[in-house]
Amino acid sequence: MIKIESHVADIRIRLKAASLEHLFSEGMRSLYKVLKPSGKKEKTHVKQSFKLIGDDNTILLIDFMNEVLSYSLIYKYVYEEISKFKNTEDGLFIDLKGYKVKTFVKDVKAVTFHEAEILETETGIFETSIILDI
Amino acid sequence: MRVPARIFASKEILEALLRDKSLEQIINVTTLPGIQIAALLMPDAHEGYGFPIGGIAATSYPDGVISPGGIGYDINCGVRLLRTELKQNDISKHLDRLSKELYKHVPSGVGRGGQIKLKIKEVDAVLRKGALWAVEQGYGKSENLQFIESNGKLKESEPGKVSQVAKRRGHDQLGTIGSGNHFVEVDQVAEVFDDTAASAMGLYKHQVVILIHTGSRGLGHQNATDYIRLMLSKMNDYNIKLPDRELACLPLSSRIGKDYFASMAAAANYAWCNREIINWEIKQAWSSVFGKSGGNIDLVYDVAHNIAKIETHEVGREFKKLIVHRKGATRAFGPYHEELPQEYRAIGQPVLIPGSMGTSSFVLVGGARSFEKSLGSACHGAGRRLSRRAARKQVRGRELQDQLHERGIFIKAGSLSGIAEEAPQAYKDVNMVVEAVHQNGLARKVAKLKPMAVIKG
Repeated sequence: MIKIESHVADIRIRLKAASLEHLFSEGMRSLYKVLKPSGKKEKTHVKQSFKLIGDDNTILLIDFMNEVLSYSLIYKYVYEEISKFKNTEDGLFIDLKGYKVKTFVKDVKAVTFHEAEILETETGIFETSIILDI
Repeated sequence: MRVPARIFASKEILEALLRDKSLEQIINVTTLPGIQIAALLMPDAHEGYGFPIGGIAATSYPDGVISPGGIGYDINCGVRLLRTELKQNDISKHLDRLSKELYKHVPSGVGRGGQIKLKIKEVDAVLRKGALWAVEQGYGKSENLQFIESNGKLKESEPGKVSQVAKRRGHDQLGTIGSGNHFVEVDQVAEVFDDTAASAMGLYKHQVVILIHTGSRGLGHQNATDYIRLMLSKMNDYNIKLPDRELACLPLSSRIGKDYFASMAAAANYAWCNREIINWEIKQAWSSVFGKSGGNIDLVYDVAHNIAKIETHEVGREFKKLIVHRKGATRAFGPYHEELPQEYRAIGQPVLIPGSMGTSSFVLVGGARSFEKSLGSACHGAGRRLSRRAARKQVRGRELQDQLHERGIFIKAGSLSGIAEEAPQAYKDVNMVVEAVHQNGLARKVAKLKPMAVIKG
């Protein structure tokens, strides 16, 4: 679940998911809710692999979202699916699939660590707030 | 708290500050290792992430910390003021065409890249040379450099410390303003408060002037992201514990601290080059509307409001070098500072405070007591009051555009929702903010500007 809330100067996103992988997927989707891809979806299919290393899941999530943001803005990619999500001692390995678009309507400067903290509820739900600098 | 937090505000402004997390965030800033004197909050402050916007913090040099969050993601976001030789009456009938030409010549918004596409090697040259690169390529004038803070170039820049990803984000964005609160604005000088200072800057009543507000674009954003992450992973090595990860910092004397400063300087240079090129684009637009009768457009001053600088300040009874972070705060050096151009030495450094698109902007000069009171700093704008969503709920872009048009203000923007988000209601009363700065002696009012045409992303 993605909820976009007000923040004085930026955007606050609340994410909830039934698994860590799904939370990452929701984090990725939330970026496109803000960036708003525009123009025809091009036929070119794109794939991208990331290896992330971090002390905790929150750092990994923010790193992941920043990587997705950078690639999306540079190459005008929209990733729609996590095809691999493997958390090992050597790092978190994520493969993404997506497509190319013409442009985005809105800009996001960065995904910040402010307020971000992944919590797992007693019912096994993963949730966090994230502030996007816009 | 290692030092006090000092807040510059009127009663009304303080009440507004108490409604968000600005005060909590400035108190967090007082915990930075090596912080000196006080953490300062300007009257236009509002809640940010880590540091509040409108926050200033100076740490000891060279072993105090440097914090990318104390500078912001948009490194060297800043304001440039241009003066023209025309008066309000000369252009009032041409505002529709002028705003269209400005929108055409100055790319804005997310999807509109600039006309200049650089190879990575060329990006490196921009990062090294700053505004000088634009001059060398024929986009700027060498006479302009002296009227840019730090002459448009920080010598500490090392392009090799900026990631390839950051360079790729910036390779096609030179000469673009971007989106959000960035703009090009045509104003008239509505009121002059200080004839001597206005005259030194070549400003007079009813004169048409132009403001540019933008920064280092995607290159700066990526650079901040890269180094915040890097610093977070190394803070334990220095036993640094902070209440907010966005305050991530390391001693400037550490390898990563030095690398960040060198990369921040590079991004700052990119921003100065960007504003110099936008200056050139504005001249093209101006010329296409007015031809030779448009006269010259000259640079009054260009100042950063998201940056860290090594400066000398009085600590106790000693003068010491400090690492001064300004996040949403403008340098405001008083008269006779050696870094000021000869033309402004007697009056103090120009301080440029944009308001919102339907209100006023202000030109001030650094106050004689700004060093003693605010580490040579002042505010940077009106300061947001409403979130973008709240602004969209209260204001309809089309209606606002029509209302402003009736008042003689032409708006050209990428989207109506963008206009609503930047509505005057979304900001504090800039008059009140500037008055707080003026009354406290941080900077002195010189002129008030009224908008005539606004170009936004």
